Amino acid sequence: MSNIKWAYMDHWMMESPRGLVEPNVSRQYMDQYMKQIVALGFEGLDTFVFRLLGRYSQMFGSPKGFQHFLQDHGIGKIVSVFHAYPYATKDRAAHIRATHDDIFADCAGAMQACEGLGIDNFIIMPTSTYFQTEPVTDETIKIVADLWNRVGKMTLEHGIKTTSHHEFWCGIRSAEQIEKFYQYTDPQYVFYFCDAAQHTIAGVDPVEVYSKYHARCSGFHFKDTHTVDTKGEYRLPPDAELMAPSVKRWFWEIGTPEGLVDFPALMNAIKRFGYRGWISLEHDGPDRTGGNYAESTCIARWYIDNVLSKIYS
Amino acid sequence: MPELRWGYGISQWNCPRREQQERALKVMSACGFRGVELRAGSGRWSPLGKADLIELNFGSVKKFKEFVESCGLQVASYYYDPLMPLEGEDSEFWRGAPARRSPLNPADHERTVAGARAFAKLLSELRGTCLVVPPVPPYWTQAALTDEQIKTAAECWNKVGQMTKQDYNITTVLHVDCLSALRSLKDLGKMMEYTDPKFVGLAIDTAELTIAGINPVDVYDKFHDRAKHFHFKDTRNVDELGEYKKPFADFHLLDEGGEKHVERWFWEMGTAGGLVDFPALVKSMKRNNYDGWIIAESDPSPNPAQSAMLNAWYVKCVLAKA
Repeated sequence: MSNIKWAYMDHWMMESPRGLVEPNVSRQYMDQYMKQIVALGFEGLDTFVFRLLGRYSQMFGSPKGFQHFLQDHGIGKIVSVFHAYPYATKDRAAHIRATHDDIFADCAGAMQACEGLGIDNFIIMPTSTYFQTEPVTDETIKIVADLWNRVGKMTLEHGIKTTSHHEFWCGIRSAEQIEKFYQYTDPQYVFYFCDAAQHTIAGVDPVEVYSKYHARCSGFHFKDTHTVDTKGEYRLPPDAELMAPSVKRWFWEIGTPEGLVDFPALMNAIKRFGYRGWISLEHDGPDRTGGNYAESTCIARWYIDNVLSKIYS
Repeated sequence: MPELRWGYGISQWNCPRREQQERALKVMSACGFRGVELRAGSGRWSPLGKADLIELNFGSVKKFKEFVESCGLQVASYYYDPLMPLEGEDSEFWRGAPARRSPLNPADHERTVAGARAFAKLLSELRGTCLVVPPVPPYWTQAALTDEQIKTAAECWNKVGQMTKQDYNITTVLHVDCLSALRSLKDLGKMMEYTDPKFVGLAIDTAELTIAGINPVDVYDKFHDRAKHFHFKDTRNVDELGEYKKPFADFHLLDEGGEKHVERWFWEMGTAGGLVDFPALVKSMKRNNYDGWIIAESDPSPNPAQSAMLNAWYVKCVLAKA
């Protein structure tokens, strides 16, 4: 039995007579999308809470109906659901304690809707944008940690781990901030999710972070980047990921010659610490520079099969 | 029973740059295909079109072979149309006229053999198996073939096939497309009868035959002992109006869509409304211990990688159970 199973993080665009569209505009497109993923050997899917409870439930009747659709296509499991408040608002901001009850209630609602699906991870972005969260002080990180400790305890009651995914443009991004966050959160309730590209853009070595928090690690997003943010664009409004002045596309599929993440080193670390479970492939946004998801997924899968799986599988 | 060997045609990718070629080959490999069919061509937009261009781009044929293998593939075959003029070899190239290598003209036969030799040699160095050729020109260029003309073409392919097999261990296979002057099972039967089974085989292209109104399953059942190569692609349309007869049918019918405005003739296996019965064909191939390459194709499609993935899904999830 293999140690590693591969899932696909739910980003996709495809051609239609109306131009590029997400596959969730039609069940026929969803069928085509899933066939492509399954053809490459992916067995699980990571998706977004808003999409699972929104569009997918509309299309397939319920989260369970969507799960049946996936299983009919050979995707056995929704491995993780992602939840975030990218923009802080007056009633949703992890660094504002007064909003915690509402955030907690959102998360509890998500857990109830996910009941019985066998989902492993509730992936959260620990704060909103950096520019809305700063200054990121010790006290800020403590407030944020308190929220996720509370949420993490609740999600575990549903059998799902709350796990933190550190966007390069969120408030918990540097090695020091990450260290304090895991110091202030309870290892019983808050887990670590390793997104290789996000760490690298933030100037943090994902192999080092993973090695440090491997015991709390509950999953991976394997995507790459060609750029380290050396200009401090992570803190620029309105949106560091989509509208950075000097970088049109931050995220790349694994396996490109220009990729900065040392995936063989990360895979060796995963092997060394005996991780067994899911790794999710992600490449958010190849269409932004004229590429396409189908090709990027094939290139990445080639890299998995011909490089990474030879290290550990 | 031999395992079916699956390859993919590179023709739908536009990949003049090395990194584009690498990505195209890796897409095929990631999808589980293990062979690639190349297409003869010339000029700076066809870096893989013939031996001297490969040498120019890769340093040597050997280095190109290593490049293909590093992507997880091997070269299975070349598609070569002897009537297509090649830059640097045919003065016709600059006038856009067909090269003087018509199998219907006995005076052209030696030139046809010489043209094919270059690709047989290249394929041999690449460890490929088949040289895929159109047996006769399109119907619209000369109308229906007489029995004598089919015999003349067969003589040409016997010479070519003998050369490719004896000198290079490459099998010459005849690929009938939807515009071909060979229009029926009867015509195909004559071509098979007049060619030497030791030297000339058949390449069955599922969509091309279907568009021409010929059932590829019937073709295989009738000529399975001659079938040495396949192109697997689907279609949703038959040329019911006989527009293959019209001048420049390649443009008016295939590119422009003909009277029915067909926007896309060739589709991935498993497409809704697809006319080819692939499970029946594969069952028959397995029954007959087919041991050649099957080249999946989808050209042209809006997204080559998407097409390769959908074809891969069909191979793994439908045809594997046939």
